[in-house]
Amino acid sequence: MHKKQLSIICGMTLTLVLISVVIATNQESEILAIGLITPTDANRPTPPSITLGEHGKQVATSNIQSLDVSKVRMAGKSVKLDAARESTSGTIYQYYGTGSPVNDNTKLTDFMESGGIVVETRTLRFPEKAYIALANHEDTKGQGFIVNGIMAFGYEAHAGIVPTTLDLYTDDGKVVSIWTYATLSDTIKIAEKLDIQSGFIDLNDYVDPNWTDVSEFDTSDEVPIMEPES
Amino acid sequence: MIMKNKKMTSTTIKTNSKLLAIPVIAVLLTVFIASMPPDAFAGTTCDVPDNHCYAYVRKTISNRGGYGTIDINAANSVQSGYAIANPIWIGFSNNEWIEGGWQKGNISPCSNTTAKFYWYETLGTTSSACLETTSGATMTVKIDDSDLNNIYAVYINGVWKKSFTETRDAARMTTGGESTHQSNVLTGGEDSGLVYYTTSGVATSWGSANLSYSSHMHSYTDTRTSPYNDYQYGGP
Repeated sequence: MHKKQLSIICGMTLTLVLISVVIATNQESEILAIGLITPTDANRPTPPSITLGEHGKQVATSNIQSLDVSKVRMAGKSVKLDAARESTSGTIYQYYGTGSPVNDNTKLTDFMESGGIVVETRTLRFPEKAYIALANHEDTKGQGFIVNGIMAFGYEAHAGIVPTTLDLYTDDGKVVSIWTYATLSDTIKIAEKLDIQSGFIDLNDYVDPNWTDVSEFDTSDEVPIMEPES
Repeated sequence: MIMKNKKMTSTTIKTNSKLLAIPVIAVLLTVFIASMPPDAFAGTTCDVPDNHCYAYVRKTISNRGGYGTIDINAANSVQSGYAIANPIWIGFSNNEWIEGGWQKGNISPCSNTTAKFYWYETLGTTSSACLETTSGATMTVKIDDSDLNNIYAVYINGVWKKSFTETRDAARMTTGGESTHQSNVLTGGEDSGLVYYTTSGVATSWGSANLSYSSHMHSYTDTRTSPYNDYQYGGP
């Protein structure tokens, strides 16, 4: 074999190796590595953590359109859709876990501490009323931001047991809510990886100059009280 | 052959009758259990080191809040130190909650030894207020969005205190007689006229709760299978 042929083969091999390394590096850089945080204490007693059983009845994951979490690592572990539940009012809960078993009695706090991600999808009963409240009430007015073109509200884990919660208000009258024991900025990055599609709801369209946060008087004694269905 | 078939038919009818009784009994049992008021029990010492104990009743149901009347002069004593008595908690699916009640002790938001009304919430971030003292035998706490405008409001004794934006339904309602900390006796309490609002905003009776019974609170855990709603947990 001539020296020239040998150098061509070596050159091609080296090029292929370099290309492979570049591709592998690019793929690795697409992986989102998330570290966990602990919710700051409430410095007071808290109510017991809700259990997954309280979210609703378990439904087959095959009936649920799973989000793509293949590029997310929670505390160094990959996550997958472990279970799904549906409440009596039709809210869907998806539990993306790191492998720990989950059942009715699993506390939400334990699931989050194991690196789990919960995606709650609910339908607003009266979307316009919700947008008006968000646009005008003092605790949400001006607090919204945009994630992938979607109107969002979010806050970091706190009060000892409340996870970081990112609410995405999609233009079909739904809310996709993502819960993690990660920082809010990391949770936003997770949301960006999930490829949730929606147009933008502009809350400026719902600002009411005559809004007041003060409710009317208590009317609890004036409403008829139904007996629960047995 | 005909005789044999008749005999078989008769036997089959008898067997079917017995089988039919099973679902009837099951339905009757279900109705009986469903019609029972919520009960919780107290009367023992909070015995787990560094833990905090509650005697409470809980309704796990999608709701838009609710209300109840709490007997302050029953066993719902407000202990000194690190304790809360008589709260109503409206809890949400992601562990957020809104709370209103009666407390004393060095706990945020109140920080003295005089029992006072308070509200506390974790929607978005935490906020709270320590309110006025009260007189009288009972108080009512109402936390609700019965008009479905996505704003939950807190009322104590019929007076509006604060409102919060929350677009999701609540997942459960909890009302407590008393909480206490290690080595104190959890004496319980009495709550009456408990009402929750359905997701349609309909006021629905939940009955009354007597947390004053003794000797039922023993080793317990917060599981769905426990008949007792008392709760003891490792907290601050």
